[in-house]
Amino acid sequence: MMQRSDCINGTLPFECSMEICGSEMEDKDRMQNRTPLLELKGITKSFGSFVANDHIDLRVYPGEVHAVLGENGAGKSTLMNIIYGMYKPDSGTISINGEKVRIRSPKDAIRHKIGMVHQHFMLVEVLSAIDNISLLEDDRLFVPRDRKKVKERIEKLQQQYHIDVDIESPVEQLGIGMQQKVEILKLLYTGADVLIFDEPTAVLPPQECDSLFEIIGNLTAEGKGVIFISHKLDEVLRISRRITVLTRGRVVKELDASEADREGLVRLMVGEDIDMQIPDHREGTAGEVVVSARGLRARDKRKVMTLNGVDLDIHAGEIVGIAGVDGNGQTELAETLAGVRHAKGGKVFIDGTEVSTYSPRTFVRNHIQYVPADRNNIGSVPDFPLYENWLLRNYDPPRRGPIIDYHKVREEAAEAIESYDVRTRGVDERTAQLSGGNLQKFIMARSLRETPKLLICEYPTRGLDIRAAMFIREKIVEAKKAGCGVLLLSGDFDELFSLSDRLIVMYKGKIVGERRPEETTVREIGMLMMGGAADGKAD
Amino acid sequence: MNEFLTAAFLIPLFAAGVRMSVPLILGSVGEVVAEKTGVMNIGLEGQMLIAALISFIGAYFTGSLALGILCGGLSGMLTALISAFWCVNRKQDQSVVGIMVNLFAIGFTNFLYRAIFGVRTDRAKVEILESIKIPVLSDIPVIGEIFFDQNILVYIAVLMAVFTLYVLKRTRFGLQIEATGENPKAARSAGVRVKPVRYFGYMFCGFMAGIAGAFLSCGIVGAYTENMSAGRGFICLAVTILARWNPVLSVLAALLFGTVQALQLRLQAMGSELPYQFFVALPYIVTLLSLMLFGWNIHAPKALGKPYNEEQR
Repeated sequence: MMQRSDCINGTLPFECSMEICGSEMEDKDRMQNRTPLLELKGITKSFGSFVANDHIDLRVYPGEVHAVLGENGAGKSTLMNIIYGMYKPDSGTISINGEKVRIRSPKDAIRHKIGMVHQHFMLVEVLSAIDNISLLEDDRLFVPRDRKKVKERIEKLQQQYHIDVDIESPVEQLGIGMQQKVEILKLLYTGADVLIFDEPTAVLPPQECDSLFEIIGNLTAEGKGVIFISHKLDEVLRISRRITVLTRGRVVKELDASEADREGLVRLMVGEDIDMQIPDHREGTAGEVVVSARGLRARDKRKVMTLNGVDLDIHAGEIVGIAGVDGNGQTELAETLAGVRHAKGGKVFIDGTEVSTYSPRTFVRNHIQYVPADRNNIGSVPDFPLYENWLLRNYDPPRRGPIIDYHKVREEAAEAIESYDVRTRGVDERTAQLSGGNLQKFIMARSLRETPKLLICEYPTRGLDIRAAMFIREKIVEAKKAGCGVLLLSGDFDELFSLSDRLIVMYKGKIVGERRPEETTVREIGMLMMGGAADGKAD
Repeated sequence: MNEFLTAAFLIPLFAAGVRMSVPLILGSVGEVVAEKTGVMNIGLEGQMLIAALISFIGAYFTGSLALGILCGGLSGMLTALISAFWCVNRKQDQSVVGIMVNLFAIGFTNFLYRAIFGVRTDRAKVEILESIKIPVLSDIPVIGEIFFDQNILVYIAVLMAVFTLYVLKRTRFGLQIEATGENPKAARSAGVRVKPVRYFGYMFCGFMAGIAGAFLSCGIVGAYTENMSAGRGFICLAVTILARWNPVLSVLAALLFGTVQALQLRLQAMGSELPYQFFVALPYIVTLLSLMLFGWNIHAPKALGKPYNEEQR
């Protein structure tokens, strides 16, 4: 098998290139003749009384993408963190190239040529890509570092794998897609043979997914083994060869991608058939204008003017979908309309009254609700229990005299948890303990407590499993039917096309196109997002 | 007013200012490193005080200033180890532990000093460090007298600041320190061992605070007096912020405070209508004002003060 050298060197192990022809071999032969790059046996891990991984077996062979599928909380991330040494398993063994190894820390994992792109990136934000990658170097600590040498090696890798990213600026100044590329460069730099991608596409706009898949393709062509985690079945079917499905910490099935299909996988993951279709909801006509923006301009958190003059009317009872590549002003538009960011020019009107310079309280009082992209920090206070989080963005809590009536609040929160099927141990649990899907359901329940005039949803189903995502979408449609205007930011074309009454494309802080979803195509919207003209030519 | 502007007044003032800034330089260089690893060593004051006494005891009984100063450094480090254990291993609140250390230090030093030296009117004394004239440089008029006719710890303090900056900016260890203070989880995922790095932060800071304490008792006074650190450890915390976690800038900030302190002593000695407490308060007033004036737009290490829990989900 592959020779592994202890020092990190720039050349990739090409010995394995002979085995790429394995792709032409029968799969059965492949399984019999080769040692897996990585083999897990009986991995078990509990957090308190909760069993996150229950005797999991997994084998990854060189040159193949092995997808791990499962709903939120099925134990995928835990398993990956065990492989990468972030968590210690309670029992079970890990073998690399047939040899049992002990992985007690990420340092051990790196030494055993395992690399991981975490779901939440593991980058030191104030440092450049070069410095982030230098951290991985395993040479003497006190010798002056040779930044130039590191830089040259990174540049070589960039050329080899066509990864174009700014490696000198602090990574916090890079977009999410770029940060992910820095993470990939980290893996390549350590020469990892087993590469774990934990939900890499959850944060990417569709165009960038393609370039990610291309990189993954190049890596497997070199004989590396890739573990790919995703909720998106199309992707999984497209790029993986083997699929392992996890449910509640157990492997329910391992199968070949060639014998899998969407419906079958959903059934395996969820344990039942679910309807993936959003019922048609476009028959009604939109009502009065509830919120409008005129010449709206705003700066992002780096103080760069990213919203450059937007005129927009949102009517009662319509869903306005916003498409755009990350960083083209959508977030600032949503935040300005939600009242959490002040406009630097232009005006915002609610029911015809100007509120541009008012505080978020005014927006809340005028029934504007906001489901932010960052559920854990902006949508909730992670260390507060659910019932206290229930009061966020609520300026008229139930009172007894001058005191908040917590008894009532807890009742309200408990009812919401019940009717929105939030899986939790109760209203006293800290929101930090909730999985993404459950937290989002809770935030949705809070936002729709009273039907708002305008509901602003930023990437509401990002990172959610199928069932939770469908639930959130249904709630958005319900709100619309109840007469609420909805502004929907999304990176998921399926979602935008099935939910929106109108689709608006933003590019460089301006609206560059408006289409009705039934009259356009994903391709056209994609071109607009990249700044191309509607006739298909890029400028 | 003219008497203030003569060379005879100003040169000794600035020379004393340089001396007074040394404990601040040492302490804040230590604190910069600790905070860069993500731990706030509020116990700096206590470590300095304990070291002032221990180094004095060491020097008094061994007759060697060098040994005394070493004892001071080690005692500071040992005291810091307590904080490190509570904050890094037991994940306790760093401010609370720091305040406890400071309160403990006051009682402990008072007790120990009386237990050893008793209550007497004639104070126990040791020789103080001699000043070393740097050849050539000390002959420069004014500058030479102010900067290059000082004791060895003054030079060491400045050299340590430069050396520390070098380690932070140019070595991989410095990078590990910065990563640990900014994002311990990311650091760990890149193979950095977070706990040892934070332990190092505490211990290095404790050692530097210890040398600073030793400088007070063995370096310039030659005796130990109750609570002789007198809040210098806290000023170090302010210096660290003003210097924006840069050890060399902290030398400059420390010089400012040191000079105010020297001035304050002289104003007191000259006698004035104002009560002496006003002058004693002067350095702290300057600290507050300067934080107000220059304390904006700063980027503290992101994980500063936050205990790191490896398996937290």
